[in-house]
Formats: sequence, C-alpha cells, structure tokens
Amino acid sequence: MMNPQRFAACVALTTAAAFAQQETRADWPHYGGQYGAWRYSALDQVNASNVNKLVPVWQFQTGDSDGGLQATPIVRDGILYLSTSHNHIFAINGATGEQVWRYTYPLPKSFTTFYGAWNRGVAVSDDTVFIGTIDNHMVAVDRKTGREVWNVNVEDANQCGCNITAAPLLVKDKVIAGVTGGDSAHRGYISAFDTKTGRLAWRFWTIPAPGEPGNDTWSGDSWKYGGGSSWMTGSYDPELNLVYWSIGNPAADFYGDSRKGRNLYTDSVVALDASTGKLKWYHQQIPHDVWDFDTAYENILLDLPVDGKPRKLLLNVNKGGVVFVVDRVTGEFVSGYPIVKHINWITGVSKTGELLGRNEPKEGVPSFICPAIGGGRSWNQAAFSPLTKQLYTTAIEWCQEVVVAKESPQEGKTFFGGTFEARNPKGERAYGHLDAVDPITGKRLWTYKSKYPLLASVLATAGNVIFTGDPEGYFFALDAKTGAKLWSFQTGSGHRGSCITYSVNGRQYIATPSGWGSAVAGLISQLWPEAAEFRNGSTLTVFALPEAAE
Amino acid sequence: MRVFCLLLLSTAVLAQENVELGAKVFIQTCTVGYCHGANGGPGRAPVLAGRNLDAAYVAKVTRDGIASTGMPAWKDRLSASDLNAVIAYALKLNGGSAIFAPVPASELAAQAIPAAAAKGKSLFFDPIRGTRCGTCHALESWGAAVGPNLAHSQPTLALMRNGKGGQIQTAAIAGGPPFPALLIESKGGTARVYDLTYAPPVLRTTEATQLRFSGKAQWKHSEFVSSYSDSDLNSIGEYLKWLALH
Repeated sequence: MMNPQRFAACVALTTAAAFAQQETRADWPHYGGQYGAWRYSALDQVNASNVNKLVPVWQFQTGDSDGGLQATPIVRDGILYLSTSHNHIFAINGATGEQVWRYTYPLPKSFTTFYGAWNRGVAVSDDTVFIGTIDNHMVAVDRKTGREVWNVNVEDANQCGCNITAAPLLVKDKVIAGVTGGDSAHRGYISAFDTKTGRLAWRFWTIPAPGEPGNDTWSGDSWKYGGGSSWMTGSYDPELNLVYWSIGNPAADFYGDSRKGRNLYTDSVVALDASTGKLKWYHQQIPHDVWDFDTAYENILLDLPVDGKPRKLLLNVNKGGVVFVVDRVTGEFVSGYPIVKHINWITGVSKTGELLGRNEPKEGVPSFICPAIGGGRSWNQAAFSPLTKQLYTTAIEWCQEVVVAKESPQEGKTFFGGTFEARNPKGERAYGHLDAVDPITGKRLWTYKSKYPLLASVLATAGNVIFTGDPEGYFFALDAKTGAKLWSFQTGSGHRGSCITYSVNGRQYIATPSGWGSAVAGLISQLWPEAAEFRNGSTLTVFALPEAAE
Repeated sequence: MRVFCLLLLSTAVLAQENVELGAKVFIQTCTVGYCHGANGGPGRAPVLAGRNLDAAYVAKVTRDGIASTGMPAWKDRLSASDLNAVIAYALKLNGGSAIFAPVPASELAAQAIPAAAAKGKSLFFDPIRGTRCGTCHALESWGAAVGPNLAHSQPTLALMRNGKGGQIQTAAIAGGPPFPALLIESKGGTARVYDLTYAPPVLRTTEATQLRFSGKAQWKHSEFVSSYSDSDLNSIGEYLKWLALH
C-alpha cells in the first residue's frame, strides 16, 4: 500500500502536470484556451498590481457589426485569427494589428437565418484555419494565405433551419463541429471531418434512432424533430481520447406532451470516442426539459480532490443557472449547485443529481419562471484559476412569463411550443453578477454586481486578474482574490465576445472583442429599454503595459 | 353607393378575422424565441408596434424578407391566408386599419401536391437519412446543387439506382490519393472540384497545376442511394414526374 505522504506527493505531481496542460502561454491555441476550457493563462506580466497601467496598443475594425463581435480570437506564433459575423476571417499580426490576410465567405445574398449572422471563432491547425458557417458549411482555409482549401455543405440550411455559429474543435486529424437548430423542428448531431480532405469521418446523432438505445425515451415520432442541438464548442481529454460535448434542449422547447419520456440525449453531456464518435457515457441534467434550459455551454475539465480523493472532473453550467459536476471518466454525478438566487424551475438538485420540485410551465396560462430563457447564465464562458482554485462565472437574476402552446413540427421551422417575455424577479430589479465560487461546492468567495447582465466570457490569469466586459462597452479587470475592480476602459460598444491574452516577443497582450448584439442581447431591452440604444460595433481592442513600464 | 358600402363592410369584416388569425400566426412565427418581441414590443428584431409603418412597406418586407438579415421571405413559408393575416396584424400594431392589397395566392410558392408525389418528395429530402437525394441534388429551394438538376428530368428506376455519373473522373491533388471528382471550374490558375468519395460532397480548391485527372472514375450512384428501396425510388420518380410537369 502506498504511504500517505507518497500518495499526496503523487497527487500533487499529477495535478501540477494536468494544470500545465490547461494553461495557455504565448499562444491561445483553442477556443477555451486549452482543451480543458479553463480560459486561464500562465502569463503574469500584467498582474493585479500593474493592470491599472494598461493602455490600448492597437485596434482592428472588422467592418461587419451585424450581431456584434462574438468570437474568441485564436493566436498561434504571433498571428491572431479572428472571425466575424457572416464568417469572414482575418489573420492579424498580434504585435502590430496589421492585417496579414482576409477570407471573405461567399454567402448567397438571399440567405436568411433565424439563428443569426454571428460566429464565435475558428480552429487553427499547423497549416489550416477552420470555420463553421451561417449556412451550415464547414470550411478550411490555408493558414498562410487565407485561400479556401475545402468547403462542405453539412446539411442544407434552408431545409434544416440549422447552422454553425460555434468554433470547431480540432482533435488530431479531425475537426469537429456541432450544429444549432434546437429551437427548430430538427434532429441534432455532431460531425467530425478529416482535416485534409473535408470528408465526413463520423457523425453522432444527438437523438437515437429506432433500434438504438434511448430511442424509447421519445414518444411516437417525436424523436425525428426533437432538437438536441450541439451549438457550442466541446472539450477534449487527450489521455482518455474522449470528446465532451453539451447537447441542448428538446424541441418543442416548452410544449412537452407530444414528446413524453426523458428525451435522451437532450440536456446531457455526452462523452464520445474522438476517433469513432461512439458514445462512451452520458449524463443527463434535465430529463424531459420544458423550460429551454439547454446543457449547451463549455465543459471545463478539472483534476481536483473530492472528499480527499483525486478525481478527473467535468464542470458544466446549465442554462437554468445550475452547475453540474461529474466524473469525466464515467459520467457519475459528483455535485450540483445554483449560481443564481432567483431560481424557481426546481427547488434543488439531490445528492445523486436528480432535479427536485420541478415547476413546469402551464399550457395557455402565464407561468412565472426564473431564470429567463436567456439563462441564469448565457453561453459566454466561465474561467478557472488553478492559483485561487476558483471558478469565475457570470450569472443573471431575471425571470419571465411563459405561455405554453401546443405546436406541431414543421421541418426546419421554429418549434418553441410557447412564448415568453422577460420579467423582473419578485421584490427586486433584474441584474447581473460575476462570482468567484468553489467549483465543487459552489461556495462563494466574492460577488461583483452589475446593473446589466454580463454577456462576455471571463478570462483568468496568473497575474491574479479577472477580465471581462459589460453591455455598455466597459472592459474591466477585477482582483481574482477579492473581486475589487482594478481598471476599466470604454471600448465604444458592448461586450458579447471572449477576451484572451497572449504574448509576442515577451510582451503580454490582452485582446477583447467588442460589438453589441446577439439573441440574448435583444431580450435585454424587454427589461432595460435603454439597452435598445446600446451602440453596435465590431472591434478588437488590444492592450499592453506601456513599454517603459514592463 | 350601397354596393360600395357593402364591399367596404365585407373587407372590414375580413380584416378583423385577418387580425385575429394574424395574431396567432405572429405568435408562432414572428415572436418566437429571439426575434420580434411579444405584441411587437422589444426583442432582438426591430420593434413593430406603434411606429406608423406604411402598409405597402409592411406587406413588401413580410412577403419578400430583407436579404442578409434574419428576416425571411415569408411568401416561401406561409400560406396566402396566413401571410395576409400576419401583415394585417402588423398593421394593426401600428394603429392602421389593417386594410391593404392582399398578396395573391398565385405569388406564393406552395402548390398542392398529390399524395404519391408528396411521399416521393419527403423521401427525396428525408432528414432521417444521413445521405438523401437532397444531399447532392437541389430542388424547390432545398438541397445542395452538386449533381444534375432534376427539375425537368424523369429518370428511370435503373438510372436512379445505377447511374454511373458520366462526368465524374478520377482525380488527385498534389500527388495525393485518387478520388472521384466532378470538375466545377478551372480559371485563373485555380481549380475547384467536388470530391465525391463520401456524402456530403466536399468542394476542394487547389492550384490547377496540382490537379491531375486519370480517366473515368469507378463511382457508383448505387452506394449513395443504398438506404432507399425500389419502392422508395419509384415514389421519388413520381415526385420528379410531378415536378417536371409543374
């Protein structure tokens, strides 16, 4: 038997190695930073004591502000790759802001989509840049020149009412992408394409077909148009060779009587073999969802002790404002806790992960449900710092009135089964916040309160600084240990994208997209009428310390 | 005069019915999810209520959509009665009388389709099949225009099953492995081919000098239609026959 001291040293070593894999340094190679989606950088030139000296060093205007600027830039070898609405890609010199090349996506002029023009980022390999498109294509362009290499129409967007807005996930020789369409009459999937040829390597249907395990969790033919989109970016564990993807809500969103059953694998995290796409395990957060509370967001991979034992964990924030932590080897439930105060769709999560006290909206009469459909948090990603061992996540305190309506599916058309309108919570004005919480227990270290919902991703750094931006255009820094505001800068338009940090020739840069837009941004004006006047834009602003101060 | 009054009255009654139907259509198509707000109030899409919007403008935008935005051309998606009703409702939100020149049914894409052809159409675009006819053929604004346009063709069962893809050649890019390819264009030193190894087809772009052809490809349509029975293909034939006549 291993003695306790050796065991502890072994755990510490394993943890340190795992942490090193998840930190970014000079590059920002993947959507979530590294494969574990921490959005944490080991760079510390900019830190809590000097962050107030940050100055803008360059700006880049993309020229397309429809839907704002929602991307996470990718940085490799000093070149920054930025995607915009309508799937244009820019390669930009990370130190100077000069354009290296531009790829203009040939979108048919007549094309319209319910899911918006925005794009949330690219994936970059040694020689290729990959993007999923507004009309549901996957496209590869040459990393040096920006010329198109291959382009595949994944499924006709006019028929499916679906498209790709998320950044793809690059795993070895495959580029993997999900699909929107969870609010349409559509059946979701995750597709992997060969990086060299664009050929389909595998597809995982998020709703099992007849004869497959789980199809019996759908009554009648409801599985055919049951939603289950995969609209954000997955994570990857190289040791287990597992891809983790979050599957969205079942359709119709609110009307569930025609799809009786648990509705697998909607509102689940699925673990797929990266080579074959075969399902290894799943963890369903919400059986038979009738609130549109997708399991859609990032999967943060953490190696942390639980009850004194080291565990390989996966943390996922559900749109309903509840965090679910599971074992990422087996899918076993570990813990669950709310990140919002105003929550009434359930009364809690049991010790084994079951939802308690379900409060389902009613057909034909208004039901007061908290949080609102925009989410107890939106898709903008949280961050995890191994220094403070805290999860930094935004949250929104708002509610809505939902009226459920019976609806039949029409392929590719919206399929909500009801309507909704945002409301203030009982007894107070709606607001947003950014919290530092223990990732396993949810115990709160500090809260930063915001007048408006915070809809930009969070960045954590080894300088103990937390960065994000707000809808009014302020990009700001908080002390990772205390939540105290250390610095802010008005970028000119609201924040809906994801800031990153990187370095070129030893100088640390902080880059933030700004550009107000998106579906949830549109809902904000139901509670904050002045938000209808928030300025649109599409700009990347890059900050660094003045050279003399470094 | 009396005749005129009667006409006006019947139009007004029709308009009122239109507004009620329009409110329902609006809820199911316009205010859903993240587009226009309930009752034309705030949402992601523009506010529609109380803006004194012009009747002709509302009718045109609703019918034709706004290109490069989230506003679709509803004439392609709604029946004439639903389309006219929702226009009437949007006008009512602006305090208008809800009386306007209705969009004639003849302008709308939707046409009655006989049951046999309808079955064929649903098979052609069957979303449950990973590979369906629409993966490579476009018809009636759905599908991908890679293979031949079938709008005016009436292929036999044998052709649907065992078509040889006459223009498909074996190609290789930069000395890589050979694949069945359909040349789309070669100009300005750049060549574009569809790689038909698997569905969905991949449009590959290369320097023309890097692309080599080596004769007719051993490509089989049968591999792409293997999920369809002969009876399925006959139904699809009925659909194509109906389409060719319309």
